[in-house]
Amino acid sequence: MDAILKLEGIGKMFGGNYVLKDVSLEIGRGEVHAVIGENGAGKSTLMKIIGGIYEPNEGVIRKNGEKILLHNAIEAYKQGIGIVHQELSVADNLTIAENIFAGRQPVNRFGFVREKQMCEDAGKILGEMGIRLDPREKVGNLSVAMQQIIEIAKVVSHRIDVLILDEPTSSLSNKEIAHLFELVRRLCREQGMTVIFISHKLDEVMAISDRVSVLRNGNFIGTLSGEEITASRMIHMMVGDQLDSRSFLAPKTPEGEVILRAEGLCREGKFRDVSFALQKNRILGIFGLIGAGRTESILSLIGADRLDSGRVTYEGREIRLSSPKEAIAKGIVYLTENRRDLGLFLPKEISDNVIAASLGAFTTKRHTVDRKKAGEAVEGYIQKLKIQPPVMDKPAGTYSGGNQQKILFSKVLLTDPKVLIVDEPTKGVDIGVKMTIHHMLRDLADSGIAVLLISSELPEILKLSDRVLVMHEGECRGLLENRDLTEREVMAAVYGEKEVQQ
Amino acid sequence: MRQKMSSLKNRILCRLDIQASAVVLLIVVISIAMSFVYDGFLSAYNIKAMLMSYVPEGIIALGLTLVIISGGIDLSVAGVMPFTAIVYCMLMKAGVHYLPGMAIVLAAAAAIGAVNNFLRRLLDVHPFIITMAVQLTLKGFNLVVTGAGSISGLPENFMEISQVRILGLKIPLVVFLLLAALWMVLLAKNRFFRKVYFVGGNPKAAELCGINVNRVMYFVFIQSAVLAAVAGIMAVFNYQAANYSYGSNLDTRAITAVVVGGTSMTRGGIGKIGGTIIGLVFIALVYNSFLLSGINTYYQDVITGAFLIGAVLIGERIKYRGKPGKKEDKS
Repeated sequence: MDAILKLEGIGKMFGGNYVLKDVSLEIGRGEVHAVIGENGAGKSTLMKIIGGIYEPNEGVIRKNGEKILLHNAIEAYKQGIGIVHQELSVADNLTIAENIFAGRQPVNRFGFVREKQMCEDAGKILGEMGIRLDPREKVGNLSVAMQQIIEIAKVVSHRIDVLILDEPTSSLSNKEIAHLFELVRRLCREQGMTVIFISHKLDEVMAISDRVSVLRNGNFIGTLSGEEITASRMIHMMVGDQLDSRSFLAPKTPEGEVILRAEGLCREGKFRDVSFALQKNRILGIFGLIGAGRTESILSLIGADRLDSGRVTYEGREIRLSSPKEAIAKGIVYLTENRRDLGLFLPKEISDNVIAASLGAFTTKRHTVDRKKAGEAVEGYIQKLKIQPPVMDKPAGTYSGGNQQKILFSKVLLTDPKVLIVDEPTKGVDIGVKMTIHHMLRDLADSGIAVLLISSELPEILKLSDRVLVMHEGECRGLLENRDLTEREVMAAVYGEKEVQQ
Repeated sequence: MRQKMSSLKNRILCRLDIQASAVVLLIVVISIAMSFVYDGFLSAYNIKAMLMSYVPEGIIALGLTLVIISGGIDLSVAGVMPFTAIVYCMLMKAGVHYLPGMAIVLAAAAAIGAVNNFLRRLLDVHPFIITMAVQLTLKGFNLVVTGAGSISGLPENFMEISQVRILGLKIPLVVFLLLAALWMVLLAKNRFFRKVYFVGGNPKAAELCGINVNRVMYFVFIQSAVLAAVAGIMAVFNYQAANYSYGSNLDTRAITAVVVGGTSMTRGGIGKIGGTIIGLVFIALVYNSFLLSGINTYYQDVITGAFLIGAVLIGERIKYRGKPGKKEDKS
């Protein structure tokens, strides 16, 4: 194989601990090479080393056989290596052209930007990528997906031949992902680009990669190519000997009464005639593609948004919630997908975070917090949800994404909800934490809570839901019992094919 | 052709800023209303007087626009301005010619700006606190040096030059207009000035693009302090004296002009000199209207405060609704 990049024995330490150890791998010229692994496996660190942002403590990087030393991103660019970071780094208020040439705009003798030439150059770069956009457009007016494309254009404009994409799909819809992949293939085909691609989503990895390298705990596990690239094989390499993540988690308790019933919920332009019932001890999954109206209908249900018509019956009585606060007071709790908005106080200790929503229950007669009682309750959740590391006095912000998710769940559970609505609960977390959250949701349902799971990940829906409500373009497209339900059947319901209604 | 028209229309729409338009509309309405009530409100004399009294705020607001776009704030300007005026007068009284004296105080101001940024970086704190401390220090110095009074009795050659008019305009007004034009063009077109937008919009990304963020921040704070010094020198030109109290409330009014003009304090990387000038004209107009109306001038600040809240409301609630950068509804 003709290797464009060769990593030999790369090691990186942070604060005395190895986050990467003796990683050696080869990237072939012109291939799409996926790098996968759980959170904390060292993928991003490795990419940042290749991209010049971190310097390795050990090992050598060779490009085209020659040893290269990189001290910053600019030096990496000079070696033809560019990295597109996970977080968007565009400047909203500036034009596409200015973003692409940030700080390198063509100028005349007096340091003034030559706008016309800059726009032409930007148009050319976009054209080569098959993107038709006016380079004078402000980036802030573009969709997130388009902003990401601009970001790629910015990196590509440095005339690179190795492009690193760090989790490029995490905030894109399926259609946008397809578009991005088309772009990646085009770059490889027409510009001879080599693309290194980090992802959590195995189906994406299978769709785009020529070869896949797996990292686990900072170690290189192996590289797969061609037909070796299968989901089970990748999962096995990523997590070692853990269970398959796909099989249905069956309920252990009998189904309870209907606690919440929604009938004919409508909001103009968003969703219409949405009906479902939530039972105690059961999980209802709502599946739909982006824009299906899942989140919107739930936001209206809990009073965070307008509801034009429809009836909500809760514990036998008709209710109309006017705010999420009222919903929480009644025992209906909604967890949004956006973890940062979920209300973790990142600089505060876990214990303070967990009791934040139920301070009333831990207040003594003298209006002070009953630390002992609170500590016991928090300790219980740390054990139950396996929060790592299991201590109470570390700031929440120092925990990994998955553990922050668990802290958040603890906080919600402490308020003793009857209905728990979770929106994309495992977005952006690694497989290990994902499985813990899945088991936790099932345990919660078994303990008598009615759970509503919104997810755009079909395997997750099939693994957890007792029933699946399928939504598409604001409408309910069917309520399916999960008895050996297959992905094909659900997708058929999404697109309205008759055969599923048997 | 048609396509060209529509793209032109788009570009105009794109440039038309709702906040700036609202302020311009208010300026027009107030001017018309006032000119009905008071003859000569829109006379050249009154307009010149109005602008003249806002030259220090104006020059300082130019520098602050860049500081706020970069995501920071510089309160030290309210200390630098009178400090410069005082030191400039002291130098002249000690026999230094007004030109080298000018160079000395401008250099001193540049040093203060550099110190602002040096401390900001060294201590890794928000520039608010650093520049407030510098402001306090300088103000204290000014009080001590002047004995809470004025320095006047400047040499004859300075008194002469300070009376010179160019095209019928006093020097401070000319200097402000020239600086405003220069800063407007540079911030719109010059590559180095444009870097301020990247640094304010996303400092981490700017660094990754190869922009030396710290160098840009040094520039931003130095130009702010130097412009504050120019404002101080111009005050001496205007009053032929220096007083410890020149800077009081100057920072608030300059910041108000910048924010009313559409430069965002909550999200960096947004703002234009043109907006700041509109904001300045607006404040000058409001104060002048109060002055002429004979309403208790204490109410001026009440109104300015209310307009500031209004501007922020328009800016944050209408202009950037649903735009990334702040909390956003899910699709």
